[in-house]
Amino acid sequence: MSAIRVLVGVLGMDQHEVGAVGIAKMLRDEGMEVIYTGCFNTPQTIMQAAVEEDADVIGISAHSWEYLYYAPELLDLLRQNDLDIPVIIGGSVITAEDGAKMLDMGVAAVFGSGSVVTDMIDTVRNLVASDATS
Amino acid sequence: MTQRRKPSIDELVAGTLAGNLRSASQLIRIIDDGNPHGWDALKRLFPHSGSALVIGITGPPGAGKSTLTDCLIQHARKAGKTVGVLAVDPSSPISGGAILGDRIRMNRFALDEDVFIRSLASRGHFGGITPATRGAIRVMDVMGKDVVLVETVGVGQDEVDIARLAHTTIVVAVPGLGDDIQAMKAGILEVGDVFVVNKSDRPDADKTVGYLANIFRRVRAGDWSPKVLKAQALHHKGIDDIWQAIDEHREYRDASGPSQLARQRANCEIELKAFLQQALHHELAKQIDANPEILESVSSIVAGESDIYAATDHILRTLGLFRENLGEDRKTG
Repeated sequence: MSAIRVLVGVLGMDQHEVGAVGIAKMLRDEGMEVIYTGCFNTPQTIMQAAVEEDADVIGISAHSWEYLYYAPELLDLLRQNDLDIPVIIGGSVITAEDGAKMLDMGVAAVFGSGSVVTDMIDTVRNLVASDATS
Repeated sequence: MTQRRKPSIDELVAGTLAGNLRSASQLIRIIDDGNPHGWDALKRLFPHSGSALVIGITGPPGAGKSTLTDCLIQHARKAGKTVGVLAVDPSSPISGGAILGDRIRMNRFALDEDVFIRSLASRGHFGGITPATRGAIRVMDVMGKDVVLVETVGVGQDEVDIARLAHTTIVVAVPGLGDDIQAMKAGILEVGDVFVVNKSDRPDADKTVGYLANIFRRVRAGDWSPKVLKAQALHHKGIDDIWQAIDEHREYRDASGPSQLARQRANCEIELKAFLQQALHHELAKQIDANPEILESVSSIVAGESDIYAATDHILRTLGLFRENLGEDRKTG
């Protein structure tokens, strides 16, 4: 028996947790194991937790501007440590422009406000599946 | 996306023996998934295991197990020991998914390389831990963790598996949780070595301590007398006493030689049986996956032409898994 393991957390001083908790429950209801790290994470703590938990995907919930600062740092850290764990960013504050910037930098997927639940779930599944076949 | 090369089992075993976190973490995943390679890896790790002190932390939901675990990690780190933590949370019986949130309480160790925290989902297993917990303890032990803390799911009264794999089992209780009748029930009260009445600033803490102390005086005369201690894990109070009780319990275990061997034998037998069951279960699931026609009797059961018991007999015989006619046995029953 196996399950997709997703790490969900919030970066920096952003303490809007409702979205992250909602996503965690949504993924749980899809049969995934969600390692929930809550608020006040740094790129380093996210990376360390992802290694300790053998996470397949990292989900960052963003409801303040800080992700613009921390997300690139997280991507760099993962690369430097030779960790190929896809990062998804979701949150109400992400503009189309910033979202595009994130994708350019190497974020695997971005979900702004109004995103469709099934899209998010399919994205997680597809990212894990493409990793398994690679 | 770029390629992630999957390491071989050989690499994971070698990495784990060398104390590599990533190897150990990936190996725990393989064991957790019931992958037969995990079995193979554990065979090779087994001779190197046995040096870690394993402490179980159990108790009802909300008693403060994670917070107490956080305190115990701090104490162990101050003593210069490396620590592994296995934190079990329940899987949803409906979706199979889980939210694993215990590590939030241990955030202060997020960047401490000598603390390895791993969350496990119960995955349908009852008993407070998971079938993979033993294997995961072994991985942490072999990678060099001095202390392995195992935090169970929030338990009720009869989830006692933890006591069979921990050297010392700590039961966390809170004031006002059940009266003396509740406390007399069988189960976790019989397997705990150290009882911690947490949140002891609450009313009735002394009463709860008193109830527990009464029970153990009567039930456990002559044997290890479980310690009953007060603590406020949130404020880091009472933690030194808990470690002292753990040390005393270890001295007691070391001193009682013959009974220690008997205990080892009993635990070994339980572990062997548990793993045998797991292996059989795995084999059966594999056979059913490979030959779905095994379950074709479902239609004849639904049609009223057969029944579940006869069908089970038939399937087990087809698979060569015994179950002859009971016949004469009934006479002796």
